[in-house]
Amino acid sequence: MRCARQVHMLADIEAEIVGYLHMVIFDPSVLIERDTDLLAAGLDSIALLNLLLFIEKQYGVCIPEETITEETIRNVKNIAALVYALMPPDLTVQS
Amino acid sequence: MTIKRFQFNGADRLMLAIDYQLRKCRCAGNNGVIALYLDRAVDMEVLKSRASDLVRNAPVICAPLKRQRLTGLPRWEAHQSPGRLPVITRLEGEGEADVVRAVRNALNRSLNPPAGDNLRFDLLSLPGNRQVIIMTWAHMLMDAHGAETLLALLGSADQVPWPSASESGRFAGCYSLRLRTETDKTTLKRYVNKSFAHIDACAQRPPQSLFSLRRAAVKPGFDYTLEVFTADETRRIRAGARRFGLFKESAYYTGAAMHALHRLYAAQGITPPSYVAIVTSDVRKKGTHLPLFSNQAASVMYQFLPRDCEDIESAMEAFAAQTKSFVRDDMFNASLALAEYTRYMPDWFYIKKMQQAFKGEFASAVIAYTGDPVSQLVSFLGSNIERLYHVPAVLTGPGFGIFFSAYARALCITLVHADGLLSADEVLSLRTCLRALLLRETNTA
Repeated sequence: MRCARQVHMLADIEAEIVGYLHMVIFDPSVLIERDTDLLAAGLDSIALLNLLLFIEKQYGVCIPEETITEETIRNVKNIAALVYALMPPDLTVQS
Repeated sequence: MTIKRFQFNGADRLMLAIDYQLRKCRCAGNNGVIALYLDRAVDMEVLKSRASDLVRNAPVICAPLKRQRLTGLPRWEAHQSPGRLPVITRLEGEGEADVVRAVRNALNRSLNPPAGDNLRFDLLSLPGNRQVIIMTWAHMLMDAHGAETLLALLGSADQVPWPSASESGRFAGCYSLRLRTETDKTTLKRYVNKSFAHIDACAQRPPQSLFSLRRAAVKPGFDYTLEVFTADETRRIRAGARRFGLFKESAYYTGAAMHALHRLYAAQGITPPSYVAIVTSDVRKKGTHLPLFSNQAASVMYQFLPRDCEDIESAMEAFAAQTKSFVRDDMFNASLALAEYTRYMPDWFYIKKMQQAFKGEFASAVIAYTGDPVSQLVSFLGSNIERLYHVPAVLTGPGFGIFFSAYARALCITLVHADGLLSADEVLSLRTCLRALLLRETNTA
């Protein structure tokens, strides 16, 4: 079970990814929330590459290509969970 | 009378330079063509009325192309009451051969942008009350995505609202506005230098186009051929692309195109220093079709060594590696910044500088994947759309383009080539090769 700090950190990651998608990738008319289906909203190959680059620069996490599936990048919630899982242990809080 | 002036952005300017180059070579100009197959003919009067509404809401469509007096910069001068509408012509035909002839004619018939003749429609009636609508537009007015959206506006007005006056003025969401407002001057300068450096790097091994090798045989004008796949075949092709990972269609198609091109050269005993493919990419923000009436595409040069194109997997790898590198280095923005920087050049100078860099060449081919069409484009004025494909003109030298599009989940490849550039056997060989590669059939001869 995650402790409160882990949940908070995950929430931060979600918020930052939502912010990035809202500012850089998607038109302001598109509502992006943690559950929004990004594929249905129009995420494509170049947008995904830009997002992965943002994640790499922001969190120091390189998402392996084999983990990128429709499910893992379907929404911000799933992406953030993947990022969190790949983060070095010393950046996460042990429960 | 109120006149609204719409400046060209860099990408529009590039399309104008290509138009200049094509007309200099006695071609019709930089035309874009979309063919729309309908299950039922539309009412001509309804179409005319819709076209009139469209021009009233977006007068840039019939705006004359003018030049600013001092700078010579091109712009559209849209009159509030334009007084002209797109020309709509009726044609009669018997079958697919007539469609091909009509599309070819549309591609090779000049528009007249200085007179505001930027858009026209040919309505080809076929037996059984079926109809093909052929829309031709001046590519400096809008890109393929804009053209599809315009068709959706024309044909499905209830579902797709007219853009507001400010949106139809093109600038909302325009990449050039984003570059100006979100990027400082130092970064822009760095972008431009980066683009020049990329061109210089590609120029170390310049391409050798078939156009330059066969110049004497090439006649003014373009021809085109389609390779069409069924929905089931397209499912298999997409499954084939998915084996390589998510969002790999572009790479899969480009890989197939480059390998097919390599085989074409190899069959002639030609091994160029490299292949350069100009690949275009829509830079609109996701989830919007706006702006409509301007080009919102980055054109980036991909370079492939002959050994990269020995098979589809190697070509895909080379494509993917370059794409990752371009994203990392912000090359798409860099190419847009270069387009903005060079839009002050006269047409002839622009073309000449490009050719100088590549020792008389531009590229080996133009490749584009338009993706799935605008989602609202399922019917047109009450008739169901059965099929849709694009046939764009291509810069001469290479004078050759491979365009992938999908409609109703069926893939279509359009091979556009300068008239006389390829023999009928070579075109057939290319088509056969592409089909076999994409469907992963063993016979790629």
